[in-house]
Amino acid sequence: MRRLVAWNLMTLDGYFEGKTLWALDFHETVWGDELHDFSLEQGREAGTLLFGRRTYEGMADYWTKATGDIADMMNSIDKAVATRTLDEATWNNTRLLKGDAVEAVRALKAEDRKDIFVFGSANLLDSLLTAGLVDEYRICLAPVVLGGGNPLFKPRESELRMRLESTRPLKTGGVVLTYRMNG
Amino acid sequence: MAKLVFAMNLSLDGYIDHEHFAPGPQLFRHWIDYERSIAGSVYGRRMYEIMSYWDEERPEWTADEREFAEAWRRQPKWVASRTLQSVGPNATLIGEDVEAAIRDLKDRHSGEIAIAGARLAGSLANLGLIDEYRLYFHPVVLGEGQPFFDGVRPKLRLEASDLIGEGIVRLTYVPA
Repeated sequence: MRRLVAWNLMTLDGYFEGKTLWALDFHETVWGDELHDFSLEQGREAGTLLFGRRTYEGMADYWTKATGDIADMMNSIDKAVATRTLDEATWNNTRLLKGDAVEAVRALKAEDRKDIFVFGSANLLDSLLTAGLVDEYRICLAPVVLGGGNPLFKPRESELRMRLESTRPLKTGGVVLTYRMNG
Repeated sequence: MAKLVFAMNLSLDGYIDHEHFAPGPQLFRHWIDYERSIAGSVYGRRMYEIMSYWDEERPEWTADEREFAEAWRRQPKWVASRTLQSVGPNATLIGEDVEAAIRDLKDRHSGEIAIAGARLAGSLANLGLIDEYRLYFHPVVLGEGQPFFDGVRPKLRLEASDLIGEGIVRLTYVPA
């Protein structure tokens, strides 16, 4: 069983995007050489990138037009998108996971490859966290307070307890926190 | 000139609902030492009512709890409230003009004055009175609750990142 690692940037008040879709200006406060290298390292750790449909559409649009080492990694790597509505995925090397996302991700985890990484995809991650399918959560906390927007973590039945694995402050003022999920 | 600090436990997703943050021995020791170190605390009404718990001795307390209570009682407390008529030992009500009262406290003291209460912290931050934020991130996600930053969006600069133990990381920010 391979691991599933979630990676996201979040503000100090818990938002991963602003009030509109892809309002990600706050990323600029923490982006730099360190996160660039970190992204490439994660690309090397990853066997498959997994997305929810909305994140998939934005990522596909962005990375197919981008160039550079991160774009090369994003465009070439094995990808999967969990969706009820899409009928085809045109981004290179992308599979559709139709039907029940939790069951599809269980099957994806059983494949004999390197780890699964999920970027963005807050709604999908909410289901996966509830189903206990997330093994590790890496979060870069940006020194930003948005005051409103799209929360990374959704209201839930009970609190989610984790184990702090490491902390890494960045020169830009971001802090990368790594948590292991219990259970 | 005292420094005004807002230091508080919160969840990874930014909520301060206190019933989720029962401290382990390391964190409790940390807060006891902190209570001892400060020049005093400014309370909002709700947080003062919660913390007044420590004014009345309880037979079931542990040694640590008695130590915390002692430190808490010893420090001067100022309570910003429009509704409370009276406050407990070693506490003073702040009148209508909270801003003037806080500026006066900062002038008259040295060291650190702690702000207790997110709503109060939010209004003081909007007046430009908070000098430092310390966010004690607990390894827990709540999904909803009372926000640490209440009605305020300060521009911040990361000052320090410290491990407290028990899975808690303290991030210190100052206004940018």
